[in-house]
Amino acid sequence: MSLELIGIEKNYRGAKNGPAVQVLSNLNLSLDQGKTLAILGQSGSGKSTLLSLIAGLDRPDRGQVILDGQDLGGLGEKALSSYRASKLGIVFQQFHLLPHLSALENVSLPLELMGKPQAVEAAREQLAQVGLTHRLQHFPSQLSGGECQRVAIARALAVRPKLLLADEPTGNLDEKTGQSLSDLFFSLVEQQQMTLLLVTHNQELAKRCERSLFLFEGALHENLG
Amino acid sequence: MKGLEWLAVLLGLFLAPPAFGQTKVLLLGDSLTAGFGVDPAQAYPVLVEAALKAKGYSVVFTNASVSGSTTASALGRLRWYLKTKPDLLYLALGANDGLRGQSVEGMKENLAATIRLAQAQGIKVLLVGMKMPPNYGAAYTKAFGQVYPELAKEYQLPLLPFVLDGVAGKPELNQADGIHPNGQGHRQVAELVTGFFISNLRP
Amino acid sequence: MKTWVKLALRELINHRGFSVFFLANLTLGLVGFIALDSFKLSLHEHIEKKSKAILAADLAVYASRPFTEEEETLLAQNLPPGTQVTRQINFMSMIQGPKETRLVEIVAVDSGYPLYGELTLKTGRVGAKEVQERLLSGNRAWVQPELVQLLGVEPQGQIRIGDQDFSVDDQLLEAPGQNFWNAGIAYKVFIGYDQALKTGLIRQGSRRYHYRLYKLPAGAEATPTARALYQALKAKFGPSPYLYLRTYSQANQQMSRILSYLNDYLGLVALVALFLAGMGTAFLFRSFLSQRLKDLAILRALGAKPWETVWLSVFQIAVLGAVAALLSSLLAQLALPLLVRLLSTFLPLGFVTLLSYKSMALAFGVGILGSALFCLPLLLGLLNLSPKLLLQETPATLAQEAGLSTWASALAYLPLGGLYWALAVWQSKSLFVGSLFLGGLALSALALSLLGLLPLWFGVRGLTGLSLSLRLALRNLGRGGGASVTSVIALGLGALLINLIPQIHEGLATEIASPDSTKLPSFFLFDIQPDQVAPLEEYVASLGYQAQNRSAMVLARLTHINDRSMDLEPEKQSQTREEENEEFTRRRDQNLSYRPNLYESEELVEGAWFPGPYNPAGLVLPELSLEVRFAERLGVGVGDKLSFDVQGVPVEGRVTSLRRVRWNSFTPNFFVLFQPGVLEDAPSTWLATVFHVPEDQKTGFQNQVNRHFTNVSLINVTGLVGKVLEIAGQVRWAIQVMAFLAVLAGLVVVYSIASFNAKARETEINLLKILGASFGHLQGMVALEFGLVGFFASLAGAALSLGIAWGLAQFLFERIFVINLWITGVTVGGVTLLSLFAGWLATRRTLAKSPAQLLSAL
Repeated sequence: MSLELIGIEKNYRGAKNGPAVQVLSNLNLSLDQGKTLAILGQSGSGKSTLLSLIAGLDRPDRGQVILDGQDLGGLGEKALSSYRASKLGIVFQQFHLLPHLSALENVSLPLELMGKPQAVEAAREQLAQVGLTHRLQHFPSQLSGGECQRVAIARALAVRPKLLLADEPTGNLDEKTGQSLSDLFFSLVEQQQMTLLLVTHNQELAKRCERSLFLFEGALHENLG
Repeated sequence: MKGLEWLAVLLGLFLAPPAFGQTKVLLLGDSLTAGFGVDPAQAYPVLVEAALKAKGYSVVFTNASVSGSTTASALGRLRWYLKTKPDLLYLALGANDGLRGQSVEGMKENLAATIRLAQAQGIKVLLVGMKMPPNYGAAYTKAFGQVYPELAKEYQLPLLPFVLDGVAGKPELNQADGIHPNGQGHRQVAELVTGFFISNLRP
Repeated sequence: MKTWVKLALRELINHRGFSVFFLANLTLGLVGFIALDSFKLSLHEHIEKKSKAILAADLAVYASRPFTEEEETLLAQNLPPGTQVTRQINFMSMIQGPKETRLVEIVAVDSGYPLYGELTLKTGRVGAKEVQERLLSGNRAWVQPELVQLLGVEPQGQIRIGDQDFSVDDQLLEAPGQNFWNAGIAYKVFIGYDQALKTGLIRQGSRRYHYRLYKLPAGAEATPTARALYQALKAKFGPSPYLYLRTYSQANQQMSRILSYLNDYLGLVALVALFLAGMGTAFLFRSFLSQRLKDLAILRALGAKPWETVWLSVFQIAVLGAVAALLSSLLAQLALPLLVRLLSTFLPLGFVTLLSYKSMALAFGVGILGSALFCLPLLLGLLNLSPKLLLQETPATLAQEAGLSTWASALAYLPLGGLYWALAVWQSKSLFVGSLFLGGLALSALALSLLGLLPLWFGVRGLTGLSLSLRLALRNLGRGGGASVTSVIALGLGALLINLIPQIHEGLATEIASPDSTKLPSFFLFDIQPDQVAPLEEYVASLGYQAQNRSAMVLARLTHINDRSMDLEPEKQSQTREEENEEFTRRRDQNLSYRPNLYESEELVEGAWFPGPYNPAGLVLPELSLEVRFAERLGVGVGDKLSFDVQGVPVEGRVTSLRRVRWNSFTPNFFVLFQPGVLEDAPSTWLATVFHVPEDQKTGFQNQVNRHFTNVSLINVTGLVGKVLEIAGQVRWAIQVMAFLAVLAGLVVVYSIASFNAKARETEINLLKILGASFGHLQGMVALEFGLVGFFASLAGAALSLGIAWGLAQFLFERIFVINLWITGVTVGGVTLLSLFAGWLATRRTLAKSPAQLLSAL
């Protein structure tokens, strides 16, 4: 799966009647199938905006988001939902697990949403891959942060997404846990030959990607370290 | 009258056979004689009976008075009580006929029929008169008041011209409704009625 | 301190969206409460005014003789300044028309009459001014229309009253202060007071009543004034003054029964409104507090003391509560006139709406204090709140992180219980009703919470094979823990309160229903002698009508209950001699009757009806059927033995059944019925009713019957019950409107609760959306979740309300209870739909929004 962003522009309405704030301007990006890319940037540089545009959660004011030759701008809300469900996996900084669902149910949920048979078995397998076989029936409140994030990763990978989006996946974890989690994360990405777009301000994490870009003043620049 | 007989048998309480020489008095009246609104022991017939007995008269009263009754019911009720073989009929009806403005002629005829039945059965009749208060208008009160003396004359009956003499119209002797005597009123009526009995009874 | 206030306010302002949403919901709920309470007040005033017109005064003093100067002075001294007074004399007299002489009741009225209401003449409605100008200025009379024909008098023709001639100035159709009970025996003639004195009929020995009618100044209550006046009279003239007092509520027994129903009913409505408002408020505040939990944890982390976080929350609750109460008070000012305009076609004439300031004050109290107390366990739980919450990855639920042990929670709810108990007692003006109501509600909440816990046990199992939306919905319900239990309780209690009033209304409305005028008899005939029964029936038939419901009436005196003599029983201490007499008579003199079957207007409530005629050969006593309220007054029930003195003959019977009688059926009903075969030969008079006599034939019918059966009296039922029926009709209308409004207000509260529930689902919906859940999935899930909660909670609530309504009817409304399943269906359907609608609305809004907010900050 390849991702291409062409001439993206996104503005946000500021305070009441204030001038619009340009978040992204003439942003271009191309990411080939199976490649991993890190996007670095300071807080407020527009990283999350970029992610939501790619995830089809928001639409650019100008420009195109093209996935496998399909322009997201041409898709309706329903098609976008199914695009997210089938081709996209997202890992959040805050994990965003559903508190009422067990680890297993959280992971099987996207499979169920797609109507896949054997959702529970697939989820069980995925959780085994992240080493949580012994935690299947636990609720998020009963899991540690690292475990929660592992559930979240399992959830993102369960659908075998073509594109994996990760938003500061270790941001909420201590160094040691973060370290082991990123090991797990990258080994899984590699193993499944996934296209990864990682958003972070952590240089260490960024270095584990094949390529890293720096988001600054609304456009992407080569990361000079 | 079959029902009455079984009732009497069943309950065994129906008016015990009189002792020899007793005068059985049947009182046929309305609320005044029934003692409406006062304790039964305070009603004037009870007081009169006691007073007569105290004076040595051998009497036994059957009070067949019904509140609200008019002269129309007199004949039927007398028939019911003939079984008790009264010696004396104390006939004190008419007030309700008057208060309802009913025809004076009808009332007179009802009373007359009752008197005739009693006399035919050998029962002595004591007639008790009533008067209408002045607010009913002069013509009506006059016509009403004449019924009793006329009947007394026609059937040669002892007459108590006005049973509420000295009681009617006096708030302190009457209940709230201004027409039924209170306990005090009943005592005063009893005195009058006792005297009326004494002048018409043999000791 | 200043910092805290600033912080609290800033927090509210910064969470603007939330605060506004919260305020809107709370305000809506409180508006419902104030509008309901205000409307209740208006109705009560209106109907009280109507009923005052029945006595034509707040208070009447009367005597069967003229008032003495001493009495006049005493009366004047003991009434509040500003009291209006008018004099009146009532007496019976035979008056003469060109054709006939007739017994009438003369009502001599003076200047100022009527103090309340209006007279309806043939030529129109008139008041005190016309009385002054027409009646008091000459020998003029207003007579009931029937008299015109009976006396044979022409319009403006002459009638003779005493020794004065009066001209018939107009025909009187209706007058305040006159019940038309006598109609038929004596029609009414209104003349002037001074004119009456000149007729020569008012003299020593005349039977008449002198009245003083009083209209008290605004703010003075009739009953306490009457009591004080009675005490003053008693102190001056001894224990038995010959003056008698009546307040308007005593003027008509039927009326006062209806009004006391109305009072209790409106008290219940007020309670329901209060609890709906309180519940809605409390629920919203609870959610508010859970949302603030994280902020508070931050404060704690920054070094705030536990109590400071509690006070901060209390202050925020107070601010939001006060603003909502203020807004709702203002809105109610607008909403009430709107409501009145909406209902204007149904509103009775002269209906004035009043805004209930009491309810506004209550809105503040409920909004602030009630909510704070409701949240007390949570607030106290804040003391245990640990900032470590912030370090946890998944926001913990409130119950887990901040909270008290179960027992401590239960204790912490006590002050809330106390407050609501006090409010309930105050609103219902009855310790008993308030306690009963609160107790029922508490038990229901318990039952509902058990129901809410059900999906916790079952929600997880047996899910495979169900559709995804259903599985999601059930999981949410099953795993929602405290939150879903709370919403089941809230929606269930909402449904309970909504359904309660209409349920009670149904029974009452049936009880005081104005009987269909075609079912109402035209005449009541009484004093028919036994030997007249057959001829009378024949005669009535010859006139083309039918004498029905003929009933024997045998006068008897109750002598013993279970062989205990009534004579020995010490008299109850009664206030006035009048009451004593009444009490005495009621207990002693009874009109007995007998018949083989129950009437349509009767219903057995206990025991069995007579198996057939009495068998004198048997060894058992004759059977008795007692009217249930009469039996309660006597303190007897099925199995008790009653002994009567039937005009010299002792007759005993055993109670084998209790009947409830609808007295407004206007058929001859009796407290005590004997089994047939016992009283047939006892001296009796008979009653009968005649139906379907057209209005214009009534006088003729009456005349003809009177001429043939001079001793038989006829009562024109329509004239007798017209006024009572009119007010009963209005009361019926009033309780219907209140039931309707209660449903409306309840649905508003339910909506605000449901929309809050939906709002709490927002994050989750966002997440599902990001995970690729389609619009259809989400809608299906929300619809199922909210529909299921709404349906089962309202079903349970409605069922519980039937129980409570039944219980209340047992105590308050003399066991009058009719189930209305239709309105129960509406409640369940309405709450379910509203829950669905609120869920749909919230989903729609959330779906329209970008879930991008879930991604970390820009």
